[in-house]
Amino acid sequence: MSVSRKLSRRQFIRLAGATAAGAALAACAPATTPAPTAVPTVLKGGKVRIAVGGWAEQNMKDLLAKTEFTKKTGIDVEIVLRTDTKETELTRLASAVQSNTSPYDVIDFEDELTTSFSQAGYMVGLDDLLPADLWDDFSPAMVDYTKTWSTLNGETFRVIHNWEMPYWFYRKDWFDQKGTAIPTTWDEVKGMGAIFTDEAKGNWATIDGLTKGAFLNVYLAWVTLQAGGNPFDVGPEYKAALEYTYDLMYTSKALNPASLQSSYDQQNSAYLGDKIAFMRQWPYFGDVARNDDNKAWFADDKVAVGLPPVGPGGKGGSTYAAGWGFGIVKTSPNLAEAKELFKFLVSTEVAVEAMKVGFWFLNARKSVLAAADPDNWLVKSLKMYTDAGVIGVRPHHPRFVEALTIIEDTAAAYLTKQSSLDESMNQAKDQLAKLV
Amino acid sequence: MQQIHVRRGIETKARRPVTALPKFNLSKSAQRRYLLFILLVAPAFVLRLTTAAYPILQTLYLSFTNLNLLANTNEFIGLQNYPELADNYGVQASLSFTLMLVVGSTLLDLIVGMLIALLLNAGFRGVGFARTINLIPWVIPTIVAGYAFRWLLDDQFGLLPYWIHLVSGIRIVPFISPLFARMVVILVHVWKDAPFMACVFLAGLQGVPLDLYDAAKVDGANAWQRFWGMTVPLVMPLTITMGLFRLVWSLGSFDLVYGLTQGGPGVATSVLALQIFREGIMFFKFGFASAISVLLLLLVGLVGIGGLWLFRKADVTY
Repeated sequence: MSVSRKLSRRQFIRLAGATAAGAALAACAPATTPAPTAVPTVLKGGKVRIAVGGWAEQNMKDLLAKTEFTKKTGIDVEIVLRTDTKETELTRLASAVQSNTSPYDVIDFEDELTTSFSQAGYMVGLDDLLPADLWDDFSPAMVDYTKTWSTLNGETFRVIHNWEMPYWFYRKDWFDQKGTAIPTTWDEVKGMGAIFTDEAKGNWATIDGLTKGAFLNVYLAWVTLQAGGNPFDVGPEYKAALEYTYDLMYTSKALNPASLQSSYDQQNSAYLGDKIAFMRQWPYFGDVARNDDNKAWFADDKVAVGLPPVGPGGKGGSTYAAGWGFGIVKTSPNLAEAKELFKFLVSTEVAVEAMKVGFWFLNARKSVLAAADPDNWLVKSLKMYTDAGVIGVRPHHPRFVEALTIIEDTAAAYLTKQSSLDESMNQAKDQLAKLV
Repeated sequence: MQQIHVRRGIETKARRPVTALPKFNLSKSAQRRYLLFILLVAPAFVLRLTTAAYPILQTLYLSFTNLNLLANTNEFIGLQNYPELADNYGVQASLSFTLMLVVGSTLLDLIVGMLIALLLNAGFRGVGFARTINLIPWVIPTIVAGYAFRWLLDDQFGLLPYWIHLVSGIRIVPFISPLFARMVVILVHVWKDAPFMACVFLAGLQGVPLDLYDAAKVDGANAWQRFWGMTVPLVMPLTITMGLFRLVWSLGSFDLVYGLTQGGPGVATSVLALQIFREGIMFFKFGFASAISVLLLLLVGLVGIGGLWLFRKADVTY
């Protein structure tokens, strides 16, 4: 009698079930976590990854090629692009750090992320890596800024390479036509409404980018600094700043209330569309105004830069600068190489070369300003603001990302007449108190 | 009664069980059927378990903690997150506008969807083309629609304010007024989703026998009486079903608000899903965000139960 090798239905079901169960169990098995890497010694042939924004990728490539970092150190550099927004970058790094790894070793990051990452313990302390005379090269305003935005509990977590502030762009041609000077005080700004605003034609003295999502907070920090305070303190200076803004929008009609729904792109479009006489705007607008698309429109007296108005807080806080800089991630698998790259990038020699590669690396370090092209509009403006002593320290809060959202929500409620000033202030105070 | 078993062609008598307790005794073929059933249902069951049941239970658990990745806290705090929901102005405002959005947009979706369906159910030249282009708003990604309308309604460069200014001389700035901003969000929501409702209603209308209308006409019923007395009751189960779906989908609405207003001005157009995103993804406060998620889950549950009750009430036979 021959033994049948045909698979019965029962055998098939048993086999299929066993296979499925095995696959399911294998999928459910916890992934092995990698052992924490020991700090490697610097070796020729090492590798380091640096994360930069997309706009800075070419500048970084050019800088590393020009300064021959790889040739000098034997360390290969891979440039990794950051995600589009700080929220996604926060998510990306937080997830990686939880897994004891990092998608990059050195990061080029902004103020908000510096606060979040250093608070969360994701970054390496840098003081041991910095040359003793580094701070001598920084302008006093930059040093003060670094102490507030790049350090935590006395330890430095970031060294900036880009340091820029909103500038006061104005239509010199219009001002000359009207025979009026640019405003230098809050009252003079209010007076611009009567001179330039024509609501029927859709023309305003100024517009700003005050939409939700950090735009409004940037403005509130700026105007409260002019009032002499910090918006996160929700004190009399913040109240004065809100009242001033409300007056600009609804009483003196200098500031278009539509600013509350405008981003910087819409603000720039209004300026380029000859709708406004002046505006507070980041320096990238200078490049936008000079690019090929606007060549026919552009003239020097259409995009003049003047000093910002002085508020009740005095000249020293007429504006503030924000910055981007380099930091090292604690869970980087290439820590030694990352430290070498960091030291290289923040050195005086490389900082000067970086500025020559692109204005993304322009800042108020003495060596950098000394080597910069004095005829360039941005260099001139930076020198003007630095020499005039109008740059204050950007208002800070230890839980900055949450605090700015609270300020934006409550201020917008007042500025859109949803709540009274006192209600707005009290809401902000209550919510901010819960953060500490 | 004695059972007779056949085993290898030999009849044997079954033995009486030793114990008095009943046993669940399946035949071999029944066992094979059950095993096959389990194997076939298992993938769907595992999928629902991992993508629905586990996340819900995990969220419920997290809502009892103060898990915050940036603050490095992760302790069990019981119900402490829940009273904070009532104190948080963002959550309060989000809850109120979420209810407004859900009720307002669902009602308008049903009405506008029905009107479009009635139009598309009429026989006219080009009705096929009309039915096709009707779906265009629905297929546009919601976030794209949000950004597009943000620019369309821009006071300086938007098409709609420009037209309104041409016709009336009035310059509108929709997004700085809480009332207008809310209306815009609801109307854009309806613009986006009413075409899909119209499609579904059209299918329902085409299922209504035409001889009923003929009989009604013979009895002297006018167009409105035929619509209200016949069409509406006959499509009521479908209306309730679609209404229920719309209510639940609207409760989770996020992308339109995110693209259009970011919840502003202030928190006037903030919705619960946006608050969850803000607390969880922006601030990494997973514990508090989970508590808001549980609130949203309860709302969805209430809507679902209410909808099922209405559905049973609205059974129509003819």
